[in-house]
Amino acid sequence: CGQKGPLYLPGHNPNPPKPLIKPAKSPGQDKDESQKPSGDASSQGGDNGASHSQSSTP
Amino acid sequence: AAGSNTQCCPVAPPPLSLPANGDASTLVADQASLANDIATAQGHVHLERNGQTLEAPYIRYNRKTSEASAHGGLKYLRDGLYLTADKGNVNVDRRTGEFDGTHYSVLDSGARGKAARVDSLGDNQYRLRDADYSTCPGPTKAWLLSARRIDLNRQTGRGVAHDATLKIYGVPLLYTPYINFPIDNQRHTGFLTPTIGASSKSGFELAAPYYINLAPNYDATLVPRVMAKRGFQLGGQFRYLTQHQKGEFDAQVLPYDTHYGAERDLEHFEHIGQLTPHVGIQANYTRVSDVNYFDDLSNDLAHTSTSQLDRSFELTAVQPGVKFSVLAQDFQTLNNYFNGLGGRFDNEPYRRLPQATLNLLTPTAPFQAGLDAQFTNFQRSDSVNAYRTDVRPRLIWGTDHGSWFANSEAAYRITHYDLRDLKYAGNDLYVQPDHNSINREIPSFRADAGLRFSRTLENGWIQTLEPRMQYLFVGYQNQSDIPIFDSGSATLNYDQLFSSNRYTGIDRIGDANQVTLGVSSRFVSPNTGRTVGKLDFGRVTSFRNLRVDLPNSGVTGYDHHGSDYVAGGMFSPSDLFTTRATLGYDAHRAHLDRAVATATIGHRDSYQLDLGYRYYRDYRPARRITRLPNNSNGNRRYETTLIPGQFETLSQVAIGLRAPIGSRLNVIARWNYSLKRNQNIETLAGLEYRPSCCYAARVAWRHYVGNQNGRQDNAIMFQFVLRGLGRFGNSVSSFVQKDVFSTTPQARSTDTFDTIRSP
Amino acid sequence: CGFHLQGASPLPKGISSMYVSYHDNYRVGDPPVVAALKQRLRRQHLLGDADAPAQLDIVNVENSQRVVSVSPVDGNAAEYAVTTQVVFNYSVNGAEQLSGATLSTTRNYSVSANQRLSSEGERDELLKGMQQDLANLILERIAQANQKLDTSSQAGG
Repeated sequence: CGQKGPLYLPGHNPNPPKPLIKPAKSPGQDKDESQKPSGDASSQGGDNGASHSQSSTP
Repeated sequence: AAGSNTQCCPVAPPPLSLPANGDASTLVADQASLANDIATAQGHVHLERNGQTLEAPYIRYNRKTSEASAHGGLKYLRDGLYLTADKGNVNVDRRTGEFDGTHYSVLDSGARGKAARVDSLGDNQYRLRDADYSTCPGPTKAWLLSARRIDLNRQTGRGVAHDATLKIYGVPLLYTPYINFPIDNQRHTGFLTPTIGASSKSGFELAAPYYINLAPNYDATLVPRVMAKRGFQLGGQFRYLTQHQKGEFDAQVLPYDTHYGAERDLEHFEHIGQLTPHVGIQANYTRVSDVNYFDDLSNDLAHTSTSQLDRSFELTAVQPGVKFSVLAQDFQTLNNYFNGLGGRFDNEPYRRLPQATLNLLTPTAPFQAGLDAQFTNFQRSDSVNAYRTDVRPRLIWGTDHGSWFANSEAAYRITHYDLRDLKYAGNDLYVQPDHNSINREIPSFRADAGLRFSRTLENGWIQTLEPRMQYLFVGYQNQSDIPIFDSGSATLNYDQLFSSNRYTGIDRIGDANQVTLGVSSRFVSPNTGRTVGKLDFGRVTSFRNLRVDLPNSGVTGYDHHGSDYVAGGMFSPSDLFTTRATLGYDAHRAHLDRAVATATIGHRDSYQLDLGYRYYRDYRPARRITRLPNNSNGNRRYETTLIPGQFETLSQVAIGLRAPIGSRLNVIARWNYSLKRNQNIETLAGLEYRPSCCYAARVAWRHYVGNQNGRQDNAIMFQFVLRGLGRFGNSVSSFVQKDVFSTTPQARSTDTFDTIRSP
Repeated sequence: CGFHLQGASPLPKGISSMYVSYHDNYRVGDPPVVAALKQRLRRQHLLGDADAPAQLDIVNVENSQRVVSVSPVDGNAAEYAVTTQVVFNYSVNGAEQLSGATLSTTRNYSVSANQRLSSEGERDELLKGMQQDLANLILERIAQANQKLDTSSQAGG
């Protein structure tokens, strides 16, 4: 099915398509950052204990 | 009212929320363990990263590749999409992923359904396999598209379904290997909402407009229309828009009208634009193949009540204080069997080929000097024609101190007529010039002053009060031998009381030695600035008998002693109630010349009751409609004959109702009855069944007075709309609104009946 | 009975001039409402140029007409309603006081199909009168907005 709507000058679209989210950084790029995920999980280190961690919901 | 966005049935808000900012990423779980970049988390796992949120009982997340895989029932949210799935894996950084056993909802378009498999192919593109797509809420879907594969592209705003079956309430109705549909407001090529209907003139009819989105600033619409009684008609519309020019072509071709027995077509063109910031052009052209065209092929009242089609081209040049325009205007007349009274009572208006107008006015204060000059070549077959030249220099003085204002104007009008074809003078029953050159010179003086008061009422409303007085002197010259080309008597209203000529046009300049007294008051609610009430009242009192008259003009609102009392009022304390009234009372003869009273109760989107009474005494010459033998095509022919000295009075009652019944039904009814001829003018009933917000069926039945003969025609129209598979077509009310009695000025609709702006 | 003469100037205290702007890509010349606004401000010596402290931007002026009653004798249009709508923005020293404010007015007039030229003349006269009326309504609307401005500035001051 089609859809009719008002004309507009090129470049002045009243119903612009969804803006693209800025592309994700390639994995390699943020290598250093992912070493230390800010979540509490990392603080657990290798400990497999079944402790209930505080969830740091944003 | 016409819903224009596709977000029709809002989806339930997702239970997750998007991460606050794009960069931070968090992984929270009851237990989590990290071994060489692979984080394994269990129990209420919550992962937020790169604008996405993933929740599942179990997630394995590889920090190096940003691959997350989850199972046991996941919830995934990102910009514009929310889904739940049995299992799936997502590359968080590349925003791609596959999900199995999903229920999805597209947030901005309200589309939702289940799908065996959803692949997210990066930004804004998804592929659904063995999926259902609908915008209907709840378990039983009013309409549902189930397809082997559906591709949604939020970038192009299109959805494409392969091997799709359309189900209405679960009943498969239509299979199509391929269907392409919009998922947002962008314009797209394709079929628009079809309209099915029947009318007494064309029988059963089906119209399926096809829209072609050629470019952002020009597009085309083709409207194939099949009519049982007449055959196949193709309509077309081409619209264009540039920085300084815009316009439209419309055409309809009916190669062979079986009922009429001939080809019938219509062409329409309109354009407006600036050649330079100071020079503008405007063009308008409409032509139909035969006089009964609109009567037979259109049930849009604005068309069926028209009897002349304008063809005009106007060039306008402006500078500060200067305006020069040249107009060429011709008409196609739609009623040839018309015995008028000649002069201004002829069905064919005078052509203006050309009319050149110059308006000079110095943009100064308090003194202004002005000159209005106009040359017109009036032309019409079998009539007295003329070159008319009119020059009117004027001097204006005006001052405004907010609380009071005063202005005065002195003018001297010189008009010269070069008459031709005097041999036709006898055709005009009322004006027979005997020599072919007429000169007229008329001085005029006007002095106008007013005060502006205001006060604040206890309930906070601000009331303004503006008493105003004007003295007008216009010299007398006998004009009874000047043929009438563009003059007529105007409907008397408050502004008209203060105008300097009681007749429109230039051929009759009313003599005057009179005073106009008027008072106008307005009530405004301060915070919204809305006018909640308005009253105005005034009258012209003449010191001498008014001698220039317009022959056979019925009620003009003036007599020898001055004008009718004119009163107007509007009261609208809230959106739920508005009433208007306008009255013209002739004290000398102690009767009403004009009365219009309307009331609207209820709100636009829910219940609304419109009541109206209109009364215009002797507003136009009376006429007799007599039947002639049918023409060669077997079409009925009617002859209209004007009766000199007799006039038609308009006296009509109108009742309009819009009522939602329950949450699914919208009823519209309108009834207009002529008290003078105790005859129905229009009866209308419309029904819009809207079982859920994503689907609507509409039917409207209309019984109305056809053109030229007072014969009653009727039309019935249906429309089915699957909302979300194409922009919501016009609702019944807008199909109805285009006709009479609707209170709000309608924007031009884009549905099938109206590819042509009413001429 | 509580009536007092309206204030001399529709502008707030300390503002001595207002610029009226109108732009249309497709028509030339000012519509009557803009000409009437400029002339009335000119008469009150309040008409300023582009950098005046008060700015009145006429965003859109639209006329529309529709059939409101039909003769039962021959179905021809008997009465038209003509409507003019103006949308404007008003700001003082760059601060937006009114944005997208809309005012409209409607008049009905009877027509007779076989007096086409005089009906067109009548419609043009009506539209001119209605737009001049709207010019006064706009200035009144601005005066009210200013009252709020003055009272709030007094309160704040």
